[in-house]
Amino acid sequence: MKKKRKKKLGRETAWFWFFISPWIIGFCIFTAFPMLASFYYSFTNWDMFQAGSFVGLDNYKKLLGEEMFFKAVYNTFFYAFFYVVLSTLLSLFVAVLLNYPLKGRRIFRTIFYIPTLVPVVVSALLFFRVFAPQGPVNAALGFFGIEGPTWFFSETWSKPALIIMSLWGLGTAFILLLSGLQGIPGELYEAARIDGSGAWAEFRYITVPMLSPVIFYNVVMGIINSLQVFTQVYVIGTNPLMPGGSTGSGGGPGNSLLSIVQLLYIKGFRDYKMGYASAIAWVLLIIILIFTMLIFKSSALWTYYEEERK
Amino acid sequence: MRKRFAAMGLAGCLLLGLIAGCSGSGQQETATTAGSEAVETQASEEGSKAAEGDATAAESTGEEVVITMSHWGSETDEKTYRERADLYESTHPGVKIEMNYMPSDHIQKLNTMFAGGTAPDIVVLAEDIHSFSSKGLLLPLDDYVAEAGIDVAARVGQTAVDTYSYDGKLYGIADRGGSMVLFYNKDMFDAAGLDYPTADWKWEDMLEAAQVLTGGTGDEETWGFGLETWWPYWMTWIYQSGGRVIDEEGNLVINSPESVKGLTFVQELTTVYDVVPTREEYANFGSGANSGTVFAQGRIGMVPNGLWFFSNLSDVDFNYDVVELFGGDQQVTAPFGSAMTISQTCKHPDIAFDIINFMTDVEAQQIIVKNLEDAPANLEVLASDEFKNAGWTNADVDIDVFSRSSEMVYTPPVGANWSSWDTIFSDELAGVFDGTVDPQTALDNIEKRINEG
Repeated sequence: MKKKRKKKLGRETAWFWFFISPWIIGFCIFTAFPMLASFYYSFTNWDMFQAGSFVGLDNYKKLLGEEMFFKAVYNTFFYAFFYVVLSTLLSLFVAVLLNYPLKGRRIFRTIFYIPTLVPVVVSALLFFRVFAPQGPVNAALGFFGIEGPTWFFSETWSKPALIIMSLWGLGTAFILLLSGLQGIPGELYEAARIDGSGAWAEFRYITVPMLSPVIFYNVVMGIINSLQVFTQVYVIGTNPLMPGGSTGSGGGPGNSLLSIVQLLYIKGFRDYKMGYASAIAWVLLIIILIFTMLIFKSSALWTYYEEERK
Repeated sequence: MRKRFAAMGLAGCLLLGLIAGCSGSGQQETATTAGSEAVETQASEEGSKAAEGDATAAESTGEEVVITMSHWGSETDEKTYRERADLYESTHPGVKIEMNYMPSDHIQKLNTMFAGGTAPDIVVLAEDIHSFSSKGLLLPLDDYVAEAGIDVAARVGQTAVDTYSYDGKLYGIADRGGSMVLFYNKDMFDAAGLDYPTADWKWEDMLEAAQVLTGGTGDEETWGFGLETWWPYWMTWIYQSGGRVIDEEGNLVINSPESVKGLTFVQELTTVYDVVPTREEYANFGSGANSGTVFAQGRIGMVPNGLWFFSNLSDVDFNYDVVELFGGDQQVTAPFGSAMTISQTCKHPDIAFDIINFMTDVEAQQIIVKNLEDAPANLEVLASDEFKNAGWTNADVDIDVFSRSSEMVYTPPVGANWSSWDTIFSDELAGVFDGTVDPQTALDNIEKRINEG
């Protein structure tokens, strides 16, 4: 009996490896190998054409001495901070609002989710027009007597324009929060109401704690994604009307849009400094790792899981 | 039970195949020759598929040679290259030309293909040509030219030979040509009571007219002249002032008083005369706006452009004409065009050369004209009545301007570092166009960045 079971287990294990093998093989070939290769290349001056030579830590030293890199880090942090904070607040606000039994709330939910389905490239092209110096946004501001900035053409306003554009696509976070809201048992609110709580207290002491795991997930994904912001920056920055746009520098006016991944792309795929670009990639990985770890470590303080309740 | 193991074994084999396939493409550097072989084998397999159903044809495919060729451009370009290839195939049985059309990022794609050893046999290249030739990625054509007994300079002109030569060796035969001319809106000139531009116009004449043509507000705002930061739109004024970008030895000589003069002309269009739209003003016309699209809307009086620009003007509701570009100290204009080159990894250079020889000769070049694609590089075709009467536009224009302008062109500085230099130029000169950086500072920065490598 025992022997037979062991044999069955062995066969099950074999099947396990068999079914998981496409993923493992794919991971090894398409993720692990390129990652290890890029780690190696970050210590070389490989340019895609000639086999590079080993240069030790030169790429990293050069990177940490380059003004452009710190500019890119600043821009990326600026974008990530405001995007994550604003998208978290806004998506929570919208989700709570559309969880009330309003008339036509299904239509509104759809409306808020639809922008997520628009490819980033398309929305970037669209917003280039929306934020044109005499575009709809500035026309609306002009109605209130405000003379709007030149947005993407201004060093000061290019990043805010990018953030507003990205906030248009907060549908994914919103949908997750909405399903989280629908999972909160009504008894909790009932009990609170019997105790005489107000709407704010319900939101503060029931809704937010119950949603905190979803918020946590949104924040982590938001940070990881926004630190890697690229597509929007690339599309806007390489528009031929942008300074340096026609040659793919793509950093916007005064490099005020240049993100870390955009810099990586320029160095790697325009200047063919693959070793240098690999070094940027690894520094970015470390930055993302640090932020993600900080969020994870701090999560115990502000997320609430029912199962953990003692 | 046994059946299950058989299924597992089969799946395992498939997986092994997958691994083998992937690791093969992983070792790109060592697989240089194997890679191009694989491409050709694959291509000839497709070729034999086409010939399926005929047993004898299937047998003879063993001898069929497949030549791959890459190009970029519009759908008209794609159609025209294909038609010319078909013409070659129809007269040369046993040769099949596989087109690789790269509508975007074509230089990046080519770089990746060259790095992976899978470069096309024939590569159409423009100003980037010597970024490839200087790295030894292209085949010098001199021996083939001599063997075929062709006078390339007579066919496409000496400037085109110089442009596509590097270190005394010819790497490409000019395929498409043409030069920059001035397009102008006749209605705007009429309304302002101005005389039309003529071939002997100088900067001052253009500025005088442009100032009259500029005015209005909102949707009525018009500008006299239009430019953006593309290289012919600043380099031409430097050459017109007697400046140069590189000397005969390939040294950078852009930082000169002549260049300052040329760039000051560009800058003052914005800062002094205010006759050109700024980038912010262009942006109001949409993300794809440039001097050409705004001209086509009847809002710019004069723009320098090439022959292909007629296709953007097919349904405009104003009258226009073309004239030789106005001059500065010197009456020169920018050359446009592309050349056909052969990659170093090509397996059948003889056949590839025969194809580019055929494609740049009269018969195949006439297809470029017939399809209204572009100006042919072949001078005989460019001067022909077929070219003049091809119907480039239904407007009544002086089409002979293109033939006359081809004698006015300067040799562009297409050195080994074109791509990286063009990037630096564009970065540093953006401020000159905007009026925020003075020309001398921009030139100093260019020199500094290029000399620092």
